[in-house]
Amino acid sequence: MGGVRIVSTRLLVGGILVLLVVMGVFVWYLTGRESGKVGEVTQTPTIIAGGRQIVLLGSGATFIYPQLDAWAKEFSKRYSNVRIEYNPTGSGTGQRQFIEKVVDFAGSDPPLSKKNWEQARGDPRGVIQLPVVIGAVVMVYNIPGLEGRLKLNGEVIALIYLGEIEYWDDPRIKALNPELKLPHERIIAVHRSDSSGTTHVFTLFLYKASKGKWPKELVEKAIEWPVDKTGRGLGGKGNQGVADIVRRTAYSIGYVEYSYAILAGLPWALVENAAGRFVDATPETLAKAAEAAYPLLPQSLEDDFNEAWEDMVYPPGEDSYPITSFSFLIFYKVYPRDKAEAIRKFIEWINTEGQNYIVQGYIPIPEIVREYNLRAINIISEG
Amino acid sequence: MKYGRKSLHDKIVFYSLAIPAIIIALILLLLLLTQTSLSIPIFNVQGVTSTYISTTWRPSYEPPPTGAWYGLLPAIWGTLTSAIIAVLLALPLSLSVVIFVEEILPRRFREYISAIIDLMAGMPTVLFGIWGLSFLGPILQAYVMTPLHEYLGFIPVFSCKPLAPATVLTAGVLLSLMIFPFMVVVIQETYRAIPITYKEAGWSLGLTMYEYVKLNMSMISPAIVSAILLGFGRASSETAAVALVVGNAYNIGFCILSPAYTISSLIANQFTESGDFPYMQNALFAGGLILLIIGLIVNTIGIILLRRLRF
Amino acid sequence: MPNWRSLKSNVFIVLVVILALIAIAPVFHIIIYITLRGLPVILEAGIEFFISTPAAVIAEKPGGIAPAIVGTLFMTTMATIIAVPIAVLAATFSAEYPNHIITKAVRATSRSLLEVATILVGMLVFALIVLPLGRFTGLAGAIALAIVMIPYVYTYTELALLSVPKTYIEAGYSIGLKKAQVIYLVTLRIARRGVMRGVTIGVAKAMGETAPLLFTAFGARNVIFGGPLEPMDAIPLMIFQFIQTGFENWNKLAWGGAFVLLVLYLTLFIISRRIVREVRV
Repeated sequence: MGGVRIVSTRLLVGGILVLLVVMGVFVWYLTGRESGKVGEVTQTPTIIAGGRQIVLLGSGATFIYPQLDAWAKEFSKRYSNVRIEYNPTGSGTGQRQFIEKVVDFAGSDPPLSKKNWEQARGDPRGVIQLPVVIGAVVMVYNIPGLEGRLKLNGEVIALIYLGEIEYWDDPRIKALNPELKLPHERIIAVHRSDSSGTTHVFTLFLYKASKGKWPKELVEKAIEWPVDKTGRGLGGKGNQGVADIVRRTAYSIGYVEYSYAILAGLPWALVENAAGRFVDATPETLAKAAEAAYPLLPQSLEDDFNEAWEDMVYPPGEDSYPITSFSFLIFYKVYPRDKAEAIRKFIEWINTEGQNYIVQGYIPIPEIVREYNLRAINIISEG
Repeated sequence: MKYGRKSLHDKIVFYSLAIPAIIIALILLLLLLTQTSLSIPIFNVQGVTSTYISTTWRPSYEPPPTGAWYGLLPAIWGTLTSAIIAVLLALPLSLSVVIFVEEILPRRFREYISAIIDLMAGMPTVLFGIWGLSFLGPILQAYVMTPLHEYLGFIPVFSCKPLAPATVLTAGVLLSLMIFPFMVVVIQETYRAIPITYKEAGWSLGLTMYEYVKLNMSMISPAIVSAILLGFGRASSETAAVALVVGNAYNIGFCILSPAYTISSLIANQFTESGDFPYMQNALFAGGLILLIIGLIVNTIGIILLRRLRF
Repeated sequence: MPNWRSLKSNVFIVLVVILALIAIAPVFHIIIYITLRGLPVILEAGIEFFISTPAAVIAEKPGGIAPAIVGTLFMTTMATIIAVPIAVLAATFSAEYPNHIITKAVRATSRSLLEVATILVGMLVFALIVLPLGRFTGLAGAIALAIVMIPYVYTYTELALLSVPKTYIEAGYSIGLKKAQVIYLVTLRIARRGVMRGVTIGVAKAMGETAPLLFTAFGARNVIFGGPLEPMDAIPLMIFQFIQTGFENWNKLAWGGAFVLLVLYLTLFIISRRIVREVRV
């Protein structure tokens, strides 16, 4: 074989081998290493449970993932031998994996379903659920040239999504916003195209707050939207998708989680609450809603939370923002010795110091709910 | 002599080579079996036909047919329309590249073009995806889709207002860029195989370039059909890039300026959470099954066509 | 008439050139665009980008993509270790027994696998490995990537083996070599560049795949390497998931990761081209 040899085979094989060795050393060097020095480490790290490496594996809701991930990272900086790995697999998968005991804890937007809760309670390892994050659904809109904030109530929102209110200057919207100059333009109603806890909370709110206009059958994580049949409905994937469509579409309205509305920089409407007042979604009004919902929470963390969760959507209270819900972390009552200690520390930490590490758009839970959650420390035992 | 002796040695060689070969042959079988057996539960509650022709996608904790319902037609429709757009756009592109390289470009530059084509063919698809999401989509929305809707909105396919950059058309355009390199390779190989005597005969008739190319192309038309089919197969099976630009809305309609789902993007988006609901995962496996069947049929026909074409 | 004919032909040529350029231009734009958006992220983060885990979305700096890099290296290597022996031996079988029924089955399968949607491979591995094991693992991801890789290695190897001149093989037998020796010392040795090209192309393909990993490796980003039986990250997976979030930190990591993936791909691409060129001289 004559001619110019660009690279000899031997050289190539040698090169690949060297590369593999370098990669191997790289992997070996990094194996088990935690994150490098990112951000400021404010406290000196502590070790617990005798310093053994502990991995807490969690799985579930995507909504709480950014917040939980931030907590996990800060917690590992503080307690250097504990690592928390949370997979955003979806609430249902999280619940199932919790029942199957392949994870140490689960995250879920709705609490454990009645069936799952009964199964978990019957198990020797038991179950407790902690409301750790407040979720709020806000009505974002895009009306070019509109001055002032839109006001809406459950009935009007329901009629928009039912397709019965067609124009922004409909008398029923005008009645709520006498001071606004609303355009004679068709309303484009944006909703989620995927199955989502946000849709569940939103449709439950419509059912409870629309004076019978929104039917019970349309309360679900994914529904067939009546407004779609009029050609004025649009689906978006995820909160991100809905926010993107609203931002790009004039005269549209959509519902997204509070944190995404902030990220997208969209205005949102004031919504009439159960006490008949139009309330803005702010950290304060969301905390007020959580406080107002607190008496509705079950006596014990070991109880079923379904009823309380439904009550919390459209909660009582003068200053409560109406479309709110809790997201839960679900734990066993009994853990192996080291893990029990780590779990207790984690629960304690997120309900105290962890409240200083709140991701923008997420709402810290009020003091009273934190105290409620801290009861878990006395419930979790070693076995 | 090679095959004559059946010594122990030869047997050992035979089996140690045959077992890996059988393993590979089993993969496809396993794929078909798994997709089918995991689709059966949804067929039992909804029926095969209504699973594929229904347009409703309604996950629920209540099992179908009373609670949930999983109709795959919108996703199948999205797959077909985006792949058809992709092929329609990729065909002129790939034919032009072949003609350009074979008949126009000086011989010494050919190598570069074929390197670029290879480069595109192997590019990780997620890279096409993020480019499509952040560059191509917005550009198409502003400079192609909006004018199309404004000036040609009376045609049903352009009748809906392009509300988002991620639409069936965006997916189709992006896919056309991803599949045309494969089509170029198929067409080019056959084009080069046209016997030189045929080509010389063409020139000696005093044909213009256009007539000459047209004649050559008509000789290899089965290869072009085959390229179309193989391109269609590629386009319908692409996942990551499409999931980023198709919009993922469960719509069905003739308008290509609206977001939609394809089968693969539906699976990519909803599979992990499908464990939440009874039968939903089975419905997605039924989607995978139809995707597998479409792919196998299209590719088999494509390959048979290619093999028939011998000069 | 002749004028009309040549005019038509000239218009045709112009059109062909324009369309060909339109077809080829985007790849350059993609490379430049990803570099412009990805490289600054890496330059800003420095070495952190390669040795850290992604930072929390509230952090000031985005952190790094070490779990994705290590995951991609691990799973691609594992996939290569699984796929190459199987594919090369199977290709040898096809070359040795070209008319055997198994050869026909393997050829058909391999051709189909080249075209089958890779997300179906992910679903297969999910059903056969993830479900029984009860968890997402890097190993499952590696197996899915191996299945993606096999047809590429098989096809190129078979092609290379079939092009080995028969005289060399017969010469091997005539000096008294046994079949295994002929295959190993003569056929595979002569065809080794073709085999290596297949491996390189297969590795490039497997490394860039997203869909087969979605429900097998799934992604885990708080530890750089948690072990083969833990969920594992990969560069394409990280890009796909982070670009769809609204968090600036994560979007930056996605772009930086895209640049890394692009560089890895271009490197493998150049290697595979060099192998071809070497064969041709």
